[in-house]
Amino acid sequence: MSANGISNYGAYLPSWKLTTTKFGAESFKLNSKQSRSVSYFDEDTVTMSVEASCCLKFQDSESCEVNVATATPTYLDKSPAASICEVIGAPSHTRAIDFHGLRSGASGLWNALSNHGISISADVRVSAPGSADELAVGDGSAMFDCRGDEFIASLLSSSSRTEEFLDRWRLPGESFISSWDDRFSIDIYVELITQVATDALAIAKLESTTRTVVSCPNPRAAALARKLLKSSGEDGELEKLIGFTGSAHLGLLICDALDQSEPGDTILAINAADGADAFVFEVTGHIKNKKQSHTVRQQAQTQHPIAYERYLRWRSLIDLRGPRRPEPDAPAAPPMWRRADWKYGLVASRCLKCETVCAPPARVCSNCGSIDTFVQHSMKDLGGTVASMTVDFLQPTLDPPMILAVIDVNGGGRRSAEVTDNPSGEIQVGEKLQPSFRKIHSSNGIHNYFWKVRPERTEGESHG
Amino acid sequence: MANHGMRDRVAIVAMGCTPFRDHWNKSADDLLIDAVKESLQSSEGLELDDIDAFWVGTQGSGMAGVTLSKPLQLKGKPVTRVENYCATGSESFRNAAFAVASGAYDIVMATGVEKLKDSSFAGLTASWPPSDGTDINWTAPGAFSLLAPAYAHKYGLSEDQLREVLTHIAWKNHQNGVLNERAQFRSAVSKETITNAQKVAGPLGVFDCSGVSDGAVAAVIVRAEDAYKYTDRPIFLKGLSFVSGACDGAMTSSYDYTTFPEVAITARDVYDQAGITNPREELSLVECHDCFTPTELVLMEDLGLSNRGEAWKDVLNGTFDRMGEMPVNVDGGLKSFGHPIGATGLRMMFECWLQLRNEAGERQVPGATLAMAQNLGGQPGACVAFAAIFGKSLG
Repeated sequence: MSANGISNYGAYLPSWKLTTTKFGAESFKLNSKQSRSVSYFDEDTVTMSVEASCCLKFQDSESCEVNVATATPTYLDKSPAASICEVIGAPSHTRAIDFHGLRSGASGLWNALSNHGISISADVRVSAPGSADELAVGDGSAMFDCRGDEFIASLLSSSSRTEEFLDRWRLPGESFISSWDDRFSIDIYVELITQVATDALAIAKLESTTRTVVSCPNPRAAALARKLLKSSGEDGELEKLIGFTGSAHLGLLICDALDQSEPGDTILAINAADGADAFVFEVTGHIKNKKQSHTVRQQAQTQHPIAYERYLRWRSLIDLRGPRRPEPDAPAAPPMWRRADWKYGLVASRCLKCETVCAPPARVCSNCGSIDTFVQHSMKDLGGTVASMTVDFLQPTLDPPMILAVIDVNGGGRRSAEVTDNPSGEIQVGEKLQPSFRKIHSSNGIHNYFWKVRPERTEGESHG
Repeated sequence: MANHGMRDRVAIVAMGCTPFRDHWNKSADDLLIDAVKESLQSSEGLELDDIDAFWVGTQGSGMAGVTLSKPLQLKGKPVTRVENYCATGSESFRNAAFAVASGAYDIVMATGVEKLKDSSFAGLTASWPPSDGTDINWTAPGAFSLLAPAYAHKYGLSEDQLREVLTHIAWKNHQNGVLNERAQFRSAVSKETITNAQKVAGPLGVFDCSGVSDGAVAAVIVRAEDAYKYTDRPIFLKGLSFVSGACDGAMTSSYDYTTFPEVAITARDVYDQAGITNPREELSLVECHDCFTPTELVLMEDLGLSNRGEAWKDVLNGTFDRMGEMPVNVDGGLKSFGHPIGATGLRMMFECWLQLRNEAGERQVPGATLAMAQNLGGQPGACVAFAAIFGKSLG
């Protein structure tokens, strides 16, 4: 038994996909070979990291390491990992580490495996409208919990190479991915990939693995490498559904492989970017209890197709004028810090005298008036029922009209929240909704995050 | 601990009210000067310097008492600026009334002003203290639109029935505004236009929402025993009530969005003070806070003018029409006047003033003796509520 491995995992694909880059397309049926995963306008790499991490549990006294990887950080100077740790409830002893760039998913995973920590990777990829690879990139996130010793996948070996060459790049503040002619880097990538694969398999004393997955920003290099490594091509099929998801791609491919694995299966996973990193895993009997309820494939197949115009608006690539309303105020640092439990953890209060739940948390009970006799009451895993709702055409939003709902939370307490990820565009009184951590808005260069509500994600029928 | 009420303790002896308009050529200062000047002219021989103390209500058109003392060049006078959401104008009156009732002053002035049209935003806006960013920034139509489906659901109205009721309220108040030269909108609006208007929030169309305008109002208040020194037709305060909600409706599941509990409390209080047991029979007219059509619908029940679940039928039966059994918003209401926040509550009292003095012209309610002004702010589940009753005679 190896001393390192993955004890739990989670993948998140947003609820939306883009199947066409034609304006005014009447049909969003998947008639091209490629579609891309699209995060909603209120999602970013912090919120998607949170989504992938929803199964994580922590002990208060635990010392923990959380490795967060993205090529699209929400802030440059400020650590996105700190925000994520606050939301997922990581204990105060946590060391939060940020990794950056297309290689960062592999770096974070390597660190988590080495230090029995947690690895989270998330990306939002945007190609310039009209560019050839507009549908070839996508959004998503993945999480690996490498704590404990009950691994679902033990790490057998790893191998790395580093090489300097210019293929994909982006300056700070730039929206769009830049790339050199794909033909230039094919051979470089393929050689790096085969080298690390050979090295890692040799260390693991294996000739081949049950599954091989290759993550590479150059799709032609990835296709050739898969062929040479005799991969079944399932990783390529997934990529055609969701696009290359940047720093999250390696993680999503491993999650997909784990979704399909049986005890005893082996996985060779390779990430190629500015070099290459290979990992060889052996799946254990613990996988049976830890398979995620919505597999990567199910999530990919139930994404809801959207019009190109709507996608462009969500990414602020076209500016459509909304109602004449003031810009929302930026949140202020001291109240955000004071109220972090509520803002990031959705922690309300429950009266010790009458059990009434107050949301937001209140020092004076709204029912019995008792002062300072309350305990914390977390609502982030609690769904609720719509008590009332409205469609507000006067609210500025990148996906009008805004739906606001008054939610009676299971277990008590009521709060109002914006409805998100709602493909039907409708909400009924009495409907069940789930909390979802989202970006409310950004003003004055400050992101304002809080919990919205959304219809429950179901395995549903395919929209393909 | 007791609420001793304000019956027959103070009277309004002079009032002025600007037209409510898009006053592109007038500032908040100009509007206040106009309203104060008109109020002084309504009582012969009354001079600005006779007034001992002043209140000015405004939500966002000024800070501090200098909002009034500077434009009017009041020297050495106490001026208090008040704010209480959309009941700001009423709050100005309420504090001024207490000041004369206490004996601290003999004659005081309550003013209210709002200059909204210097902003180009749609609807009302507000500035809030720095926050953690977790509160929903409800628009007013969004928040009040929650009333309509909740009411329809509770009392079994179909979507079409609900629409017909809301349309009647808007149609009635616009009809009433036609007769009022101070109203912002003076055209009758057809039921078809109201029904088919562009949607703003939930079932609310443009004509279910009150407009945005500029305006100012001023009232001169004295102790009841002094009232006839200033005018032969004072109006006497019969009851005064105010409740600031705990906002628990927005936090707890017992609230169902078919009532303003704060309003119901003020109604009971103010009727007790005025000795009214059957408001629908005893009141000559009611000015209520019709910020949105479902607000007026729900208020009819909270004010006891309709039984629970029956206001919609009374609306359709014309009970609250100008010539109906219980005229509501005969001046045109917020619907025709728009809602300059600091002025609205006092504007309602201005209609009571005209009606009880038999000066309301074409829209005069014959033989009006008791009139109510009901003003609220905030939103369903989290509001502040004001109510006052005025009578034309003492006792």
